[in-house]
Amino acid sequence: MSGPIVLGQWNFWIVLYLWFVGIGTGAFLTAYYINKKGDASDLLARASWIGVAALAAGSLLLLIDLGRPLRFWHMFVSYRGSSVMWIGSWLITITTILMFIVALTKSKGVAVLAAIGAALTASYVGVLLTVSAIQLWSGTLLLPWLFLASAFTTGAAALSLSKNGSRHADVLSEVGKVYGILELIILILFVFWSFAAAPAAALSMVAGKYIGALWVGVLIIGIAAPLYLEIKSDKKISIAATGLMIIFGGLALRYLVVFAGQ
Amino acid sequence: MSTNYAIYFDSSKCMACRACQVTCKQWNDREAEITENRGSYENPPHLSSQTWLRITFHEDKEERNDPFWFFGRNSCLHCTDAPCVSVCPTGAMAHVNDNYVVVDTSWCIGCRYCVKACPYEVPRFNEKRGVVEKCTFCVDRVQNGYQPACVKSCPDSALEFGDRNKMIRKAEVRIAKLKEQGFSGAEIYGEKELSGQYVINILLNEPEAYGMPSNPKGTGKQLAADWGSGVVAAAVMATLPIAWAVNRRMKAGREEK
Repeated sequence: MSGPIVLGQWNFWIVLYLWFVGIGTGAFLTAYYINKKGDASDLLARASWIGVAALAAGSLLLLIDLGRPLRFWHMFVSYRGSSVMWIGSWLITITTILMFIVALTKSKGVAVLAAIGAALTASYVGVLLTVSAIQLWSGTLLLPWLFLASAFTTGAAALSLSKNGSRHADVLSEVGKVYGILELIILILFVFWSFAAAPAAALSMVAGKYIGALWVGVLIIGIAAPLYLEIKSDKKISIAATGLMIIFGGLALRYLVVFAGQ
Repeated sequence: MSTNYAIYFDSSKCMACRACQVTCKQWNDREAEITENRGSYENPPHLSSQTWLRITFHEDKEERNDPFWFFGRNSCLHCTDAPCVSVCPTGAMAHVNDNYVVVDTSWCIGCRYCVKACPYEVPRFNEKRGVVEKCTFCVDRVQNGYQPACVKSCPDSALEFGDRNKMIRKAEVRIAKLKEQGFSGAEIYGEKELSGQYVINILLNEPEAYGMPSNPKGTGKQLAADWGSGVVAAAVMATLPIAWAVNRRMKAGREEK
């Protein structure tokens, strides 16, 4: 006799994975652009290490989540172009290696490739969920957009908390503002569109089981409060608080999307 | 052997005795499961790695003199354009003989992407083994000239087995008859869905009444649209706003100086 029925849901490891991928890719891309426009090679080096650590840790979480972790190499020995997960596995592996090279050599050419890899990796995690039979994930085409916006807000926040962040506090705060507003717009579109595509899940986010995750976790702590602090208040005091709130909001967003969907 | 066999399920003849459900477990060595009374004879509430086939009960919402149920057959439909096969990152979930969908549990890594991709919620995770399991179309029986276990056990003619084209023709005749009898919504499910499935269902009502999607999404066009959105998102979101934000701040910084 076997125990309670197991369906095979994606759980908290996946939430953490999506969160780490967002922070790592967002931090790298933000530093890449700041370095491109001015001298910020210290920030890019820092971001490369953040990227390598976040992507490697994220990949490790995915391995832990597998039913048979030791078989992970099965993914790398056959061509499976139709599988978003297969493409993503290569994408994240290559991007991590490229970021590692940038961290060590500060090569500008490799940094361009790593930035392209980071942008595609940040987006692929959205496509991964979109290609499914889960109504909330597949009902709209907005998940890559939402995850990208959140990648930049959480990535810039991680940079602002890092050792070299204070020197670039102004520009990091500007990136946080721009992508915070974008994230808010995309999130509103996502929720409205979901009411048409996945009514039950949309309702659970807005007024049901996930009401706290959406309104408090994502909207107030993750977007509204940091935006208010960035625009209104004294910068020095708020950098740490804002950064932590944004990063927590990124976690709440992944939790909301993954769990409300299933 | 001919490789074009299909299972034929006529929901108008099914009396929900669930002999098929039990026989499936016996032939495939599946364990019993602990479930709860949910106020319905339908049991268990979901498919699982231990339950590859179950009969579903759907009460008719139209007013009739007597209670009336639509009995559905919830199991793998063995799609030609199978989302589970398409999303599998290792190729463990694959077509056998170009038609039946079988998971190679010695190659499956337990990522459960197929669980998320199937519109019928068929592939299920076995936590103990760390792999996904589901209906195999009884390929072990079929390749040796026997019918699938579920078909063999059906005491009525609700389940039959034979050449797919013959089963479709049989279904068409049956549908015409059911329409004559007043089931105006009767339809065939599985002939065209997801480029054709190897289970041909006779439904008395729209698929939704059986908890099945009317237009399950195929993988081709959908995949292109999803990747299209992803690549455009990467190209737009990771360039324009960040460049604008950085430029704006740098400019402001220079002016301040």
